[in-house]
Order: sequence, then structure tokens, then C-alpha cells
Amino acid sequence: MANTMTNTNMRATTMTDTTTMMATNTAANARSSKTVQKRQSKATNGRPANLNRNRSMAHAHLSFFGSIRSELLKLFSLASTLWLSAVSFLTTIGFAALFAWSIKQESYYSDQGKKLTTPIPIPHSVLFECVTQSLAIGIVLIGVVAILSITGEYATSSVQMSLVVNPRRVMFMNAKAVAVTIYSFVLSLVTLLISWGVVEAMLAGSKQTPLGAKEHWLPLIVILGGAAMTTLVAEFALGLGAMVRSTAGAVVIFVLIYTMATSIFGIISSLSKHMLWANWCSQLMPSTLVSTFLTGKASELEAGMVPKGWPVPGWWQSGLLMLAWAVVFYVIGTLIVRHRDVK
Amino acid sequence: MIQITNLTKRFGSKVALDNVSFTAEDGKVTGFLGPNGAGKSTTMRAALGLISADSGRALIDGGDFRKAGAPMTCVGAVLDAKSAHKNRSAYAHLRSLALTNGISKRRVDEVIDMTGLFSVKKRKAGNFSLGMSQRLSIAAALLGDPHNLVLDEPVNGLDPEGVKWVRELCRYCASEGRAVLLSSHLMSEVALTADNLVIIGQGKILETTTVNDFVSEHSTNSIRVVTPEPQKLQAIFANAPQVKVQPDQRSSSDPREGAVFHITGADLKATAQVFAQAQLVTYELVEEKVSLEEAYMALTHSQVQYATHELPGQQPIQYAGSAQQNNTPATQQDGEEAR
Repeated sequence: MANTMTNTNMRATTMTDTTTMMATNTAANARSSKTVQKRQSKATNGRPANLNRNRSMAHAHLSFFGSIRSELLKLFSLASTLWLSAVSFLTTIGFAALFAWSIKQESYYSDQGKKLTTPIPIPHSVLFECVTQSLAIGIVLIGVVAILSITGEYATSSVQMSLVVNPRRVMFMNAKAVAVTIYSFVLSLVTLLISWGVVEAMLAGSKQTPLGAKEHWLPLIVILGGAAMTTLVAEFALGLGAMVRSTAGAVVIFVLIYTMATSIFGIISSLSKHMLWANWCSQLMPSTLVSTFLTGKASELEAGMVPKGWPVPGWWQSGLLMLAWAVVFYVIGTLIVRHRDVK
Repeated sequence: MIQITNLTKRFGSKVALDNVSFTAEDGKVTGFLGPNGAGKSTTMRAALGLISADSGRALIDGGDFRKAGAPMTCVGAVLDAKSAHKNRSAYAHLRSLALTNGISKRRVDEVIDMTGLFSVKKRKAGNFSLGMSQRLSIAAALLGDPHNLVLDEPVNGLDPEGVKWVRELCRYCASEGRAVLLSSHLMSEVALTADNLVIIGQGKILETTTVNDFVSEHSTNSIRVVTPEPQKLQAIFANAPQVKVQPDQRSSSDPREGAVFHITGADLKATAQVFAQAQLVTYELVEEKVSLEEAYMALTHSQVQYATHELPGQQPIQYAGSAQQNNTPATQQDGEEAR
């Protein structure tokens, strides 16, 4: 008798879904029907009755693709990402315009500083130097977004839920890395294309000498290579963030390595003749590697300061070394995330 | 079903979990009770693979949770009231969780409606009150319509309506055959919701029982007596070993004079009778019900000692053991009331 009543009661709550009914009936048999009935009627009045077993749940499963979509949504649902991206975009284009303007001004002056009536023709490769150098600050900001994507989770303890819905931590980190790659590659590609356009437009009226025979690849290296280098710097930053966990700590270390390291090595090398190795270290720092890669050659001035016989990375070696920075930091960061307890 | 077997975990020199074993069965709400810092959260995090135990293992539905094909349909967890990134909107938070397991947008809207977050779903989670954050955490736990629920103090910060809702939700989920592991530091909360009871203190399981058993075992009555003749009172109970007489703190409701005693294991009627025969002067004689909370406190605060008293020799009138028989049914009755 009691059992029949329980069933009727349940039909009212979950008539739409047969699976629920079956699950409830099993439960009803398991416990004394009297208590179930009492509790069931409670549930009917309250909101939990809405908790119908959703049929779509049968298809629910953890996937790498889903995790990537999730990470992209996480990235773009934060105001900090949008602000940092906007600032990165605007500073890059602003710097490109500034460099183009100064080059245009310079072309009216001779080497001796005399004003010329007919400006010196500008080598076309200089335009790409403008674009490359304009990225300097923008790339740091994109790196900060990558850092925040992981340290933000630890700072707000949202990492707990992230790892409960996806307990496979390596997959979790890989999904983040793919999301950061998509974000930084697309953003830097668009930014570089627009700053190239701005530079070309500003110098359109000036006399230019075309690209040399060996420089035909320059547009591709600067635009695609620039986006690729930005991505590698972002992955390096992501790995660093995973290692350090604290936003402030990771950002400070990142900025130190990316913008200050070369100056620090410069100061060390100027202390004594025995300290010239510092110049060589400076050649291996991410910012130097990026600029060597994007200009197609090591700066002759800086390369000349390295002790004799020490190898200076060329453009493709620089690209590979930057890749190594990214891979090493990312792998260490991922391993740390994998083994560290989340409290 | 959540099976925890011989789980041990150290943080540095501190033993956080010491050989913890228990099972949260399907179709039952298992109350996980312990004071702050007892290891409830650590156990729950270890079960979900967030903390790796030094030894022992935790199985969810018979398998390692870290290898689950659909973690969100396997377990829904509330580990912290503030579980979302504070600068992300509630909706984006839930949607980002749902995407990992391929859960539809429709389901996200459903749990938002269920938890009453519809009007604030576009707001940043950081601006939520504790209660709203708790609702958001619960919404996240329900996303995958999970077969097991792990709820770490889910009623913290909720308004009375929210507390009632969580209670009903737990009961409803259990009635559907799901396993619900509900931690709390409040006995009263767990007693209202749970079927089974696991009590933990300083990383060790102190008791594994059912709520009914715990209630009938621990809700014994006591009598509060204020008398100017403490020696006479103790002498009355000298030959009744089942009765414990302890001095107690004077409360504001007690008379100002006389010694205050707390007597357990004695029947009220028999005690009053004996007092009358012995001509014991009493300023106060009140029956008190021992709350579940007190029973639980006594269990977790192991340092609480029951002092024994040296009693002087022969006394003419003493409390006899006869009252003991009357005592048992009374206890059961109280148990029902408390439930």
C-alpha cells in the first residue's frame, strides 16, 4: 500500500522522465517506504523537484576539445584579458606609428645633422624594423594575460573546481596552453598586420629603396614569425605562472627576465674584462632571441661584445632557443601543477 | 558510492588524516562531522584527487575519480563557498565548467533557475554575498546531474530558506539513489539531514554510526540540582554507579546560593522521591535534556573528563538502582523528539 502511494507521488514529480522514475523506485525499495514517502512529499513541495535527470547527461564526457573551449571562455570572460589585450594592441600600433614618424623625420637630415632638401631614400626593410620593435611592450602584456590564466585560478581558488570537473591535470594544462596559443597568436597577428599597415601608410609618400635580394622573406618573418614568437613568450609565461602560482611573483619574474635581464647582464659585463660572458648570456635571453629572430640577424653591435669564439645564435637558432625556453618552462610548470596538492 | 580506505596524509610534521576509512553509500546522506581542522576538507579533497594521500585510497563508484570518463556526472562537489573566479560572471563560470564535460547550455540555464541565481547571473562572482556564492557553488555541483555529491559545509552563509532547500536537496538526491557526503561542524544540521554519521576528530575517525543510533545512544537526560548540602547529595548517590554527579557552573537562571550539580543517569521521579525521604534541601531541581550538540562535543573534545568523587561512608537513605529501568524508554522517547 505504502509503496503504491510512493510511486504515485513520484509520478507527479518526475513524470517527464522515465529514467528518474526507475532510479527513484530502486531507491524506494532500498529504504523503508514510509520514510521515502515522507521525504518525497517534502521534495515535491520544494524546488529540488526540478532536479530531473537530464537526458543529455548520457552524452556528457570529459574531452580535450571541450576543455579548450572552456579555457577560451575563461580567458575571454575576464575583464583583465580584454583590458590587457586592448592596451597591448594600442601600444604596439602607437609605437609603430611613432617609429615610422621618427624615421620619416630622420630621412630629411644627413648623417652630419644638416637639413636636406631631398630626403634620403628609406630602405624598405626599415619599415619592418619599426613593426618588430613596436611589439616590445605588447608582447609583455600578452605574457601577463598568459600568467593570469593560471595564477588567477590559484589566487581565487577556482582551480579547485577546474580540477574537479577535469581531474586530468596535464590535459587541463594542455587545454590552457592551446587556449593561450590561440589567443596570443591571433591577437599578435592582427596587431602586427595593422601596425604594418599603419607604417606603410605613414611612409607611403616617402622615397624608398625596395627590399634586397635576401630580404624577400622579411614580411613573412615579421608578421607570422612575430605572432609565433609572441605565442612562445606567452607559453613561457604560462609555464612560469604554473611554477610560481602567485600572480605578483610570476609577473615580477617574467618582467625581470623579459625586459631587465639584458640590461642587468650589460651592467655585469661592464664591471670587468672577465665578465664578458654576461654579454653572451644576454644573447640567450628571450627578448634578445625574439629580436634576433625577427630582424633576421643578431645585432652586430651586441654580437661584437661577446667573448671571441663564443657562438652567437643566428636567426633560426634564436627561434629554436625561444622554443626551448617555452617548452622547458611549460613542462616544468605542468609537472608542478600535476603533483602539487590543491588545498 | 564513495569508499575511503585507510587514508593517511601528512602536511609536514602534522598528521592531517590518520587511517581514515568509511563509506558513503548510495541512496543515503552521510553526515561527515568534525570540528574545524579535523580533516573533513582534506578527506573530501583527497577523494576527489585534489590532494594525493600518502597511503590508502579513495574510490568513487568503484573507481579512481581521476580516471572517470565524465567527472561531472560522477561527482558534484561544493568545496568552498567562494569557488568561482571573482572577476568572472556567474554564468561564464558555470558555462566554462560545463564545457569541459560537454554539458549543454540548457542545463546551465536549468541549474541557474534551480538555485535562484537567474537575476544575478551576469554579475561578477566576486560581488556575491556569501549566501549567493554558496548557491553558485551548489549550482556548479549540480551541473552534471552527478551520481555522487560531495558537499563541504554547504549551508555556511545561507539564509534559512536556503538551508532548508539544501536539506531537501540532499534528501531528494539520496532518495534518487545517489550518494551524498555532507560535511558540517554542526551536529544539529547533520541530524536533520543525514542517515549515516561519520565523526572525525584530529584526523581520526571517532565514530561511524547512523543518526538514529547516535541519537538514542547519546540523548540521555540529566537533572540539575542546586543544594546547600552537597555532601548529603553525593552520599545519596554513592551506591548508584550508573548515576554521575558532577559540580556544574552556576548559570544566570540558577539561585545565587548553594552548590550546583549536574546529575546524569538518574530518573527524575525517583530522584525527587529520594531527596524528599533524605530531607535534602534543594533550591532547584530541574530536568535537562542533553542536546545532540553536547553529546557530539563530548565525543570530539576527548579531554573532557568525568571526575569521580570520594564519598563518606554510611548514609541512611540512598538512591537505588531501580530507576535505571525507567530510564531506558524515556531516552528513546527523547530521541524521537530530537529527530
